This record gives sequence, structure tokens and C-alpha cells, in this order.
Amino acid sequence: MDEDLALFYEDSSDQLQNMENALLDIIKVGANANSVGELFRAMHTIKGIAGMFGFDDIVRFTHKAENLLDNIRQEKIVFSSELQELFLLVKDHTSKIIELCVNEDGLDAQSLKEQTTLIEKIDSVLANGDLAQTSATLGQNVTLDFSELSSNQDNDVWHVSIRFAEDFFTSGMDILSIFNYFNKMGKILFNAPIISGMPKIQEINPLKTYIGFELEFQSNATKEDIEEIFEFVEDDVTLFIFKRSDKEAYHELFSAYEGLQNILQDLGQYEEEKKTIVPSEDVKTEMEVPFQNENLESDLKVEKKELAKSLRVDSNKIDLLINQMSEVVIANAKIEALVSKSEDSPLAESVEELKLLLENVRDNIMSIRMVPLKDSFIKLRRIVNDTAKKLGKKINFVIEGGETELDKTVIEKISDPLVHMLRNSADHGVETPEVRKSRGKNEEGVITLRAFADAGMIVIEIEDDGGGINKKVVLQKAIEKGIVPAGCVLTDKEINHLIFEAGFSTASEISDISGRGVGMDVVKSNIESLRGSIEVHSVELESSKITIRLPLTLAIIDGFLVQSGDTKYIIPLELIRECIELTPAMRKSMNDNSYVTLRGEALPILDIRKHFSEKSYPNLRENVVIVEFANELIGLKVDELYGEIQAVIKPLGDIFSNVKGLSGGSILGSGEIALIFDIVNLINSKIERS
Amino acid sequence: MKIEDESFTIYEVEKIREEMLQANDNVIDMSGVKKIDMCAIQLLCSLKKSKNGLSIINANGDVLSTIEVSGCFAILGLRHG
Repeated sequence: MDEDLALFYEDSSDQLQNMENALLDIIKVGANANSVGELFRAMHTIKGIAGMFGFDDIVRFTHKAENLLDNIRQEKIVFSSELQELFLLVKDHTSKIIELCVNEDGLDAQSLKEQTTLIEKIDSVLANGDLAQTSATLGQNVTLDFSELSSNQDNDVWHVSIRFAEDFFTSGMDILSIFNYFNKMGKILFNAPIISGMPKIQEINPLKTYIGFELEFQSNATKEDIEEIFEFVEDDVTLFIFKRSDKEAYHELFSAYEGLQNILQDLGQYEEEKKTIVPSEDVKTEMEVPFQNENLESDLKVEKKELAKSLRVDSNKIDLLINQMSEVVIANAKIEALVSKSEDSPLAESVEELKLLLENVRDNIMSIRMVPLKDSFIKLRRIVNDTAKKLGKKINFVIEGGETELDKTVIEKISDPLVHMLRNSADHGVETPEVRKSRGKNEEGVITLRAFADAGMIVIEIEDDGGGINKKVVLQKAIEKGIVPAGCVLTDKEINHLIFEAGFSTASEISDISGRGVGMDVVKSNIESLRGSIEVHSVELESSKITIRLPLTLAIIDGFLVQSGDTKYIIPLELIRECIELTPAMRKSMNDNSYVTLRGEALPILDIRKHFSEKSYPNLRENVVIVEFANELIGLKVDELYGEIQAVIKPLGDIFSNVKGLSGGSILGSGEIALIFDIVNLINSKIERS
Repeated sequence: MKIEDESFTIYEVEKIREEMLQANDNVIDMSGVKKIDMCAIQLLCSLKKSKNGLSIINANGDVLSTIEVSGCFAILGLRHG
């Protein structure tokens, strides 16, 4: 199983586990909005990711279940004990078809039968409100056979020529899975492995790829569909895909691979006057012919690539290394604290040297987890393309800054939110070609996914040149759904941010793409759980831009240690612009306002002592640490400044769950605990208060 | 020569190639092999290319169907039934 499928399998298993837990709760204490929401979310998420991999069976099935749950959520249907049982079956079946799909086995007759039965049951509940009226014809088997869908006309027969880069085997993709995809889309009529370029056993490097294939493939798929099979390996294959009836394309193929024409002619697969293909066993027995054509691939113009110099390591080992490094950082901080109390300067120098070395080691270890965003971005292309196709829209998807690196854990966690947002952009943002034309825009919309580094954080932007957010509609929907009270006056920014509220959706028609009001609130909470922030900017009828800011890494940060009252706090170093002492003159100029004038500009000040209800000590020197986040400046008023520190982030317990403005804790060298500021939250609370 | 490994994949091809070179046998007994991938099938093709009289025997059903999917069934001199 490749890595992405393994990840999908893991994610789905978690979702199904949540679903089962929620169902067991429902059986125990009855259904409520949370538990039904959990079931809904599981089905919705699985559907979304399955769509990304083209697992249509899973998408179809989960979409049905999601529909029923949506009705239950809207209290149109009561969650009866029959439905509890039905959803347990739905969960089991989803788990089974996911396993079949990720193992590329496809649905067997038994699973198809089960699926049909369950869908009929769901349809019956949707139609009648309960299971009593369930049709007596349950259990009819519907076999989906793609090959039957294929036409027998020669016009539906494709010739596919495949050659691989030398390091294809070591890239982790198995060629057999490619054939499995072909078999899902249609029927391989003929498959001639081309092995004339392959060395004999004495000379072969068994890890290099020498084999190539010439396929005849019958399907009503388009050329783009076939190319999609190679989407993830497009740089490592050389392809020729054309209709068997296309004579010119054959000439092009033969001019690229000398000797191939003879081989295909010997195999009866090519004639100047073409004949109908008859797949037969006889064809296979003739396929030893390529052996006799030793020089066939000597002139192959296949692009050879250098072997990738990478090493696959179990990510648990890296996690362990990072954890141990965290402990080393804490232990070293203790040594530093002890040395600072002694007057042994050679020792202090050695400790300083060790500290610098440890910082390097730490950075290098952290960099192991850093991977370019490119790979996960490219997978999103398919989502945009599929969505555009389904909606009859024309969308050009542009990726910028794919080389930007981010912690793998962070990338994994933002993958679902990005899927949601891109689907939203394609669905709600970009208009249909007709509408775009009437608005004087190019018929083809543009969605740009951009990543870049900014002030120690990674910024990811999703921008589209669509219709923007219709503020009137958004506000009206929010009022209808009781998110804001009627008659409420909100700024443009506040209206835009309503899309992140739970249960908010403006889609008038529910599709399997978006528009169920699940997603943007989850997106926001996912991003915030990564110590990141999300913002939306929109110009009506012109464009929308969603900006996500994420920390580079999750485990260790460079921080700045301060004290307010009796508590020590850590501020992420990369956000700090400067530190100033709050002079009596400044304090006087504040005049009880929470602003100071700094170099002629007003700077909002957040008093940490007041914010966290710290003890106040009179006549203490006060300092202001100025931090910048997303172009907002804010001064944090604290008592003491201690300086730079490496902080290992530890999660805070449940007891802190209601305290806004803290993202974690850290153990100092002295054994004391310091709390890490969540600057986004502090800035937001300051804005709210103002 | 009997391939002793249950798994005959990219992870074993280097070792099995050495064994094939040493054994220099015209018969490859695949009875112990339960799993095969394209990399291993390629190695068999290379061996077949080097030895015209090579016979591959006792491959189990899963291995045979994998080889069939790869299109190399006939090249390796395998027959149905």
C-alpha cells in the first residue's frame, strides 16, 4: 500500500472509530446533536478523501449515509433504535469497502450486495421516515462492471505505451497497481512487456527498471482519464496514449522507439491496414518475440533519472528522536541555570559551546520532518479538476511556492482543511463560464494555492477570482440560522468571518461537493489547534482570499522568557519586533487608555497582569514586548524580561481548556513551569475588547 | 533451484539474483513463494532471457495471477492449467 493510501486508511479508521464510539453513546444515552454530528463528520470526511483517490463506490455510499444523517440532524427523521443498528451496519460496510479499495481489490459480489441492500434501506428511511416500509426486494445484486460499460467499437480502443525511469521500482510505486487501475477503468486487451533493453541475469541491477509495456486498452475513458492513472508518477514515466485508430500517432511512437513497429507487427498488433483486435490466449503465447529483438530499446529515448538519494525511515523513530531531543534541551537548560549561579567561567564557556551545538543538532533533527508542500499540493489538483468537471466550470489551478517546507505533522493535519477550502472555492467561489462571461471575466476561473515563509511562519493562501463573498446573503443566512441576532450591525471583516461559524452554509442546493455547513468551522479549529490562524479577505464579484498562517514546527520553539506577576511566560521569538521599557512619561501619556504612542503611532497594549489576573506588585518596572502577527502590532505589558530560551512545548491539561491566550507550557531549567502565549488569541481578544 | 523466501519482492531480488547465479539451474521451483512484485517478475524475465530452456514450476495461484496481471505470463513460459 503506498504512503498516501496508508494515510487515508489510517484517517478513515480513526473516523470510523469515532463513529462507532458515538453510536455506542447513542445506544447508551440516546442521540444528541453532538453524537449525530460525529457520525455526520465521519461520513463527510471519508467521502471527501475517498473522492480524492477516485474511490467512487465509497463516495456514493457515504454520500447516501450523509444524506440520511443530515435529515436526522435537521430533526426531519427520528434516530430510532432501528437506525442505530442500520448505522452500525453502515460503519462496518464502510470499513470493509475502504479496505477493499485501498488494497485495490475492488468491491466483490458480496460487498456489492451488502451495499445495495444498505442503500435501499437508507433510501427507504429517507422516503418514509422509518424502516417499516423497507422494500421487500432488498438484496438484489447490482454488479458494476466497467468492462460492460465499454463499447466494443474499435474507436474505444486505446494504445498505451509505457516506459519507466530507471529508479521507478525504488520510488515505491508498484507497476502492478497501474495495471489494476487499467482493469478498473476498462479491459486490457493485450499487454506486451518490452524487455529487449533488459540485461541478462549476469549483468542486471535488479533494482533498476528496464521493463516497458505496450498495451491495448478498451474503455470509454478519455485520454485525460488514462493520464490520471499516472498522475502521481508523471515525472517517472514516458507515455504515448492514443486511439488505436490513430495512424499518425503510431508513426510518432515508432519514431521514438526503433524496432517497435516490427515487434507489434510480429505480434499481430499493428498493420498498415488495421484489423480488429481479438484478445486471445494465442496472442500471449506469441509474446516471446521481443527476446529475439535485442536492439529494440537500444535507442529508446526514455528519460533516465538519477537514483533518488533518500532513505525511508519509520516516522516513529523520528518522533522518538525529537522527544529525546526535547529532553536534552530541558536537561541542558538545567545545566545552564546551575552554571549561571557559579562563577566558573571555563565551565560557562563550555556550556555555551554545548548550547550552540545542541541548537544545531535540534535544527537538523527538526529539519528531518520538514518536507516540501509540493507533493500534497499536487494531489489537490485532482480535487479542483474533478470539482470543476462535476460543476461544469472551467478552472485553472495554479500552485505557487510548492518548494516551501513545513513539518510533516502540520502538512498531514492541514490536508483535510485544504481539501475543504479548495472545494469551497471551486463550488461557491468561481462562477460558471456563462456568469463569468456576463461579468466581463475570462470564462476560465483561476484558483491559486500559494505558500511562502513570513516572519518565522508559513503562510498558505487560497485565492480565487470568483464572485467573492456576498455579504448580504451571508449576513441574512447567519441571522436565519440564529448565528447572529437580527438587526445586528457587523463590519465587512466580521461578516466574512461568519463563514467559519459552526452550521453555516449558504449553498441553496446540497451537493456532494460542499454546502452542508460542515467544514469551515472544522477547518478553523484544525488550524487553530496547530497554533495557526485563518483569515478571509473578499471583494464582492471580484475575488476571495483565504490566508492561513502556520508555525514551522510543533515540538520546540525559540522563545523569549518574561514574567508577569508570579508566572513566567514564553513568547515565540520570531513574532517579537522589539522590547521597550514603559517609562513614567509613557505611562502618563497612556492616561488610563490601553494605547501608547510609539514613534508617532498608536500601539495597543495588552496588560498581561490584568488579562491573566496576576498579582500586582506596586512600583515594579514595567516592560512592553511588541509582537507582530499578520500585519497587526500589539504591545504585551509584562514585568520582567529574562531573554531567549529554547522551549519544548508540552500540552496544557484540561484545566486550562477555558483559558484563552495560552498554547502550551514548558519546563524551565530551574524546574519551574512557564506558559507559552498564543499570540493570535491574545491579539484577537485585544481587538474584541477595543 | 528452489526459492526459499516466501516473499519475492524488491527487498529480496538482490539476494535471490545471487542465489540464481550460484545455482545456475534450469528449473526454478516457486512452491515456497507466496508474494511477488513487478521487480521480482522483471528478474525472472532477465533469467529467462539468459536461459532459453528455463522452467518455472510450482508457482501458486496468487503468484500466477500476479504474473498474469503483469503481462509476463507467456514470456516466462507459463501456461494456464
